[in-house]
Amino acid sequence: MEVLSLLKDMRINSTNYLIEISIKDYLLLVRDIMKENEFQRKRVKSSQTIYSLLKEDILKNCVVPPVVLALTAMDVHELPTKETFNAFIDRNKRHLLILDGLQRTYSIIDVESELISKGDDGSLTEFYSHKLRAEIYIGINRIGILYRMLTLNTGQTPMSLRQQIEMLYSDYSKVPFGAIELLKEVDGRFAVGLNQFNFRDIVEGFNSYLERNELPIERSDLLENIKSLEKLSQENAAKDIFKDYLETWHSFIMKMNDIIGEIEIAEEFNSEYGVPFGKNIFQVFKKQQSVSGFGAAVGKLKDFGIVTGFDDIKTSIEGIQLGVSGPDFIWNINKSLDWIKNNSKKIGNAQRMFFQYFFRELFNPQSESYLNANATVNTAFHKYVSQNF
Amino acid sequence: MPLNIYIENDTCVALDIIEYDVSTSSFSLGAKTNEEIVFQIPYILQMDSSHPDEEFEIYLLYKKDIAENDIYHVYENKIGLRLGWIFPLQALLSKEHSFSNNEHFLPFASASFSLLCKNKYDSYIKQPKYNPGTQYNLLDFYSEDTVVMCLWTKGFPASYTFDIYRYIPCCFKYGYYLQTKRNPGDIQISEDAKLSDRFNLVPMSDDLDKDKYIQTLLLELLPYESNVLIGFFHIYQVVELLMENIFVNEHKKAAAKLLAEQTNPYVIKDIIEEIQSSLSERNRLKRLLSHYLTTKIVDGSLKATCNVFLAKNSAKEGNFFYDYFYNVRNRVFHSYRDLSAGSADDFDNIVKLSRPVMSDLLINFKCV
Repeated sequence: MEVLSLLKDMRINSTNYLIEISIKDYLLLVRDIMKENEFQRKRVKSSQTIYSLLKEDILKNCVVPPVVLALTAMDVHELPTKETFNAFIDRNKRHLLILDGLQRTYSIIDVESELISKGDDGSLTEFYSHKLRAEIYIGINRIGILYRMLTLNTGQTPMSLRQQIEMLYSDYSKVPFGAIELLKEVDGRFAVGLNQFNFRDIVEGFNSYLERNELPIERSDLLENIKSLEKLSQENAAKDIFKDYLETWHSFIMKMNDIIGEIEIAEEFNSEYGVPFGKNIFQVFKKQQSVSGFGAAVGKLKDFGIVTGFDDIKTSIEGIQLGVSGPDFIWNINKSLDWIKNNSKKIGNAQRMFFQYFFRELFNPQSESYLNANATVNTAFHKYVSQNF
Repeated sequence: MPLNIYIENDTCVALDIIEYDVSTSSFSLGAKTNEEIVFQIPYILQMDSSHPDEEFEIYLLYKKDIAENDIYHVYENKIGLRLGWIFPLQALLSKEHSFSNNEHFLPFASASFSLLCKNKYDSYIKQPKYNPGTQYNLLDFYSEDTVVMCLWTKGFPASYTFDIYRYIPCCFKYGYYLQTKRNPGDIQISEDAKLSDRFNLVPMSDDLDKDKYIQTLLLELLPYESNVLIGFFHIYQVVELLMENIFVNEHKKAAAKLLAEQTNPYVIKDIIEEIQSSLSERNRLKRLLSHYLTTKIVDGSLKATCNVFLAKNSAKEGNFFYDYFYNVRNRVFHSYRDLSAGSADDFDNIVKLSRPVMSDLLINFKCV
């Protein structure tokens, strides 16, 4: 690897290293992260013709547009120089992510596989020696890197905002986050403990916070993404908002555990209404709909100037009271959710909306049901009905 | 016809390659005429392909603002046969409803999804623009509020053939409108009535099923009519149609009686009086309700609303359908220019409430 240029990106507070690297070294760099990092997008099942042409061009040593990588390691305190760069990358390569050029990388891997299977050592050696340019962003500002990812994807096969957030925060899913553990589907474990959360749900919730919208982001175009990042730029870009969001959510779960514990809904609910949304408080609040509602609600409260940020919410959480007994609260919230299930066009979206109203009312000091969980259920339900029916 | 997608220069391409990809739990759609077009539609429910698609038939209906959880078994009421399921298309796109893990529902859901991707039907479909890498879903091709009636035809007895057109009035009564080539989003009407636990399909009267006008009325005219007055005229055409049937039937019977009693002048006199009586619309309407229905119609709210309308327009109220409904008809037909402005809402409600009654008339009519 040879560092050709080093530039500071002031917009995202990160340093961009332009390097020239042989295809052989590039493959050594990225092969493991593509295998291990499940957040790298799967190959786009698209036109075989286009990729055939690309592979032919790569074999003929065409100049491939620079691929863009990012190093998301959390413990980078000192940036490498041109001289120390190679060793630095080698130490941290498992934290690399491909921001742009994933499909090109797949094509390069395909060419290698084909040459190996043909036994064409001569062509393989020559192929390995071809040079490729790459840019590597090194920095700890994850939101800034997210912004860069979005602008890089202009006009190309779009990556969803959620996918990009998942990629950025994949490190959090690997190590315990204080007391908090984020579990991915590939872990094969369920988030049953108080301190365990589904990574995907948390990412959706954070997405909802960024977008101020509890609805699932199914497809996003660049313009939508840029708009949400413009909102984000009003936040302090140096602070890790994701961490604040997750810790605040965790505090809420812990508080609900303190005041309700593991009480389960009465069996009569099944015969009267059917399967409840959540048998206990964890099943209610650990679902994606609730997490997204929370994210969107806090975002909106912040936009309205009612709270300044997650710190205000964390402080308020301590004051939450049920307002009724634990069994009554669980019954009441499930009854509201059951009505929503039977009457809404899109149940998941309706549930998210309900939870968004719930958390907005719960944490709004101007609300009559402020910090009263049961009263908030009623307020949120009536608000949902009045807005939708 | 297969689903279509637009590419550059507004060229439309048929999506005639449909494959289910187990590894990604999605249907892959492509075009034989353009190999560059390939995309996935994810299927999030558990795939159950224990029965091949060919064993099923689906019909596309539309119900405005249908709830995702409005999922019901479909039964043929007359012969007591379970036919399949009816559910919103949204139920195939979500795991949140009550049947997402139901082992009896899943084979129907899987077959329906596959058949929707293949689309061999002649009804309205959307044609989105192709954007490589975009993940599509069925709502890019089908209208929101689309309802799928999925029937397991392999389970039908040999003597039974399902004809959806015989069940249109029954579906209509509950606000389910069979989709046509026209955009179902243009449908103007809806019904509040909800099914309780299953959809009992009751066929239309055998004496009417050859009448193509009923199909035209219920598929093409009434659902799309926004003008309340024209809506009322359409509904009343059903009454007119039935009365015409009665007129013909009564005259046939009278003619037969005349032949049989041609030597008895007193009986002939009575028969002639009967014929004269049947010339009166009101009497025919009376006869429809008393002699030509297998089940009494339920019209409580309609009666009250008609009488409110009549009172506001200084017309005679009535106790029976042939009085209050006929009086409304007369008032509207003959004195529309003089109707009280304060009765406009009442008239709207009359039209809304008379739609299910119209369906009941079509189902329960029986020539005697």
